[in-house]
Amino acid sequence: MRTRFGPQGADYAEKFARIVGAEGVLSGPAAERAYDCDAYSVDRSAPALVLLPRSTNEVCEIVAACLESNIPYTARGAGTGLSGGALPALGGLVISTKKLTQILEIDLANRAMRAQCGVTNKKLSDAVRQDGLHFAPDPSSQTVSTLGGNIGENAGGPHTLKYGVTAPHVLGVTMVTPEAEVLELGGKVAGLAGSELIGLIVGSEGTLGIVTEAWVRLTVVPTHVETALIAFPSVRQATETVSEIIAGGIIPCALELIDHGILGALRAAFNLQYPEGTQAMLLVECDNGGQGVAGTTADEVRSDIRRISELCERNGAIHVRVAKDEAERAKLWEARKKGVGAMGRLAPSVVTHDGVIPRSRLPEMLDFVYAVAAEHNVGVANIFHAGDGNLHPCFYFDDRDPQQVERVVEAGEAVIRKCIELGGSVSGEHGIGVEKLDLMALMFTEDDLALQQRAKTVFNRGELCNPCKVLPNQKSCVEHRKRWRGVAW
Amino acid sequence: MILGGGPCDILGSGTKGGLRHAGAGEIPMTDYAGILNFSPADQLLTVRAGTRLADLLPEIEAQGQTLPLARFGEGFEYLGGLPGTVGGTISAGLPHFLEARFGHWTDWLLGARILTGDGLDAKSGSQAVKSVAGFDIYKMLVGSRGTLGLILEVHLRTYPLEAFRPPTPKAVAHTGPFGVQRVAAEDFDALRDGYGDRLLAAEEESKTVWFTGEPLAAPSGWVQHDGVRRGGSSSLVEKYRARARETFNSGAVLNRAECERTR
Repeated sequence: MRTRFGPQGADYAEKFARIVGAEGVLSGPAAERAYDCDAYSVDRSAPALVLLPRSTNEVCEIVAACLESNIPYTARGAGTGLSGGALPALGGLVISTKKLTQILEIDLANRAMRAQCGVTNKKLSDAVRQDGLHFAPDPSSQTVSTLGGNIGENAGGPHTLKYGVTAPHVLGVTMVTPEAEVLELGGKVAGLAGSELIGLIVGSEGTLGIVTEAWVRLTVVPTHVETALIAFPSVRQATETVSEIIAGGIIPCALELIDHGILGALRAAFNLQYPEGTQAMLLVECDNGGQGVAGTTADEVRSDIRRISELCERNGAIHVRVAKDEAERAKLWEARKKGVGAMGRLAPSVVTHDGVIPRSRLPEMLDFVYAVAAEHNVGVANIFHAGDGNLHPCFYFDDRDPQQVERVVEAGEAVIRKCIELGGSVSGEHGIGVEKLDLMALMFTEDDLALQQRAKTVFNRGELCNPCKVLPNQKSCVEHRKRWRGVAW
Repeated sequence: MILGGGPCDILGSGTKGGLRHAGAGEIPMTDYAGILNFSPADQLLTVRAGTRLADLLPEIEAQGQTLPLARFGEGFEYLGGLPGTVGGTISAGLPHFLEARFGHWTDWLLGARILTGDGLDAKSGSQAVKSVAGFDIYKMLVGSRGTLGLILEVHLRTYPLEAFRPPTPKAVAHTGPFGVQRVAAEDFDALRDGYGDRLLAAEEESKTVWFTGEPLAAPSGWVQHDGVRRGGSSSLVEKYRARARETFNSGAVLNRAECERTR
């Protein structure tokens, strides 16, 4: 087996095969290529080996072996991350969670479920749908992204507007620490002693340890949902309406914006029809679900969507379409769900950026995004969680032309700088990974970053557990970064 | 804000039974109050930690926003008698009566600026309602009772007053010490009944009870009645909790007595 550990390489592969079984060790060019990046494909780095443990104990043994032999490691779920969080370290392993796919316990009375980290987000919900429950966070990647990945990135999705991101839905975790211990925090009862540390772990992008199992909160599936797709003659009218909807005291469960760029791509790709003169659409959804408004009735939901429709019309909406039934609701959501995929019609490559701003600043922010794209001579289309102020400008380009690549990177950075200027964050959902290391200093002072570095040492005092991610200027990262930046193996 | 070098106790409005350390200096926070930024349209509030909730809530409610905390009786009695400060209430991190429906401080906190035990003044989080940028250090502050740093300012997500329709509050005529306990669903009825007339309040949805006197043993969950939360821990959990204290409050400069009783 060819490996990257040098003369002792063969020993390492055998050492790990004794832990995970021979079939749990992948190496060679095909494996290296498959695992050399996640969905952030700008940077690549071939792993030394890929391991597929079958249990928490095997993960723990792997980490112990890594400690013994000074081998860095990076956990990987489905590899759908968009910031390079699963990019292997220099000479490092990938610890894949592909075999940790069991649902361990479903406790309906306590509305909690315990699952291994490799279970997909959607599978968690499917397991309890017949009981009228689901796992509320619904990132767009939910059919493939894993619980572990969702925890690592504090995943969002369209319904976080009402139901929150992943963090409020994690009751407990089992984590293999960088010191090769199996740490259990929290449990099915919310607020157990030690559960305050879970807040540090969710969103830590795999840099504080490897979460192998979690207790998650199950939420009642709303019994009444109203969805509307509203067409506007200008992006500004749509963005101004977003703020007004929320300011009006209504809490929709989703509020998404799709602009003309995406609509054009959808028409080309799927023949999706929409009213003449539409420059932007709002997809709004209201429901009678759990947290928030107690005891909302179906009538109140209908009234909410009616109030929203009327508000949109007052703001110049061309057309309002309210779904009559479940089938029509699915049809309305197609525009949102197929949007990014349809971008393939516009150019060979798309980079989906991620930033967040206070929603009242959306109108000026979108103006800025279009201006930046024009200035840099790249195409842009916008499809995003307007209700949260979480932007996803999609710059499209041809990555065979290095000048275009450079302009896209610059345009993306300009957008993020603007987000911070407007009081937002450098990342709403996708995380820092490697992609935004250099941008952390825009949002945080040196003292803030010192505090971050301290926080890391609560769990991670070494340099082996997913090194050189999230925090800039960590020592020994120079070699990693030289290897990553555009150097393909 | 300067820390003197020796142990210091953080003083809010004294409503959460904070334990004092003999001879410790004092950091009185109630003058460090006021709203720094409030955007009702964005439902974003930045406020100094010493601000009393009884002052804060009317001010933001006048502009159509609120924090969906449970209230009781007339004025504002947060199940313990007198209203507390923002920083103190977050640091105590006790469940409130509407948690199952409206969430808790960890759901409303978006960021915080703190002072560590060795004087590092720094922030984590931001004003963004969704953010994955570094570690969410501010989340650990909930329930920390000053053992992980002094809270200076917090960014909070507010709630539209119009949409806040809690059930009619029960009058709770109690101003002395009390305990809180939460258990698994299967153990809730027995626990609630077991407290008899020592029961102050019970919330079915979150399986939480508030009581006076000594706690009852339960097969699941946790109990907090003397400032310490017990239940769910292990020696490994305690190792990392101690690490967190050592990281943000090295030498237990802040709230030493609270640090010691947590160990």
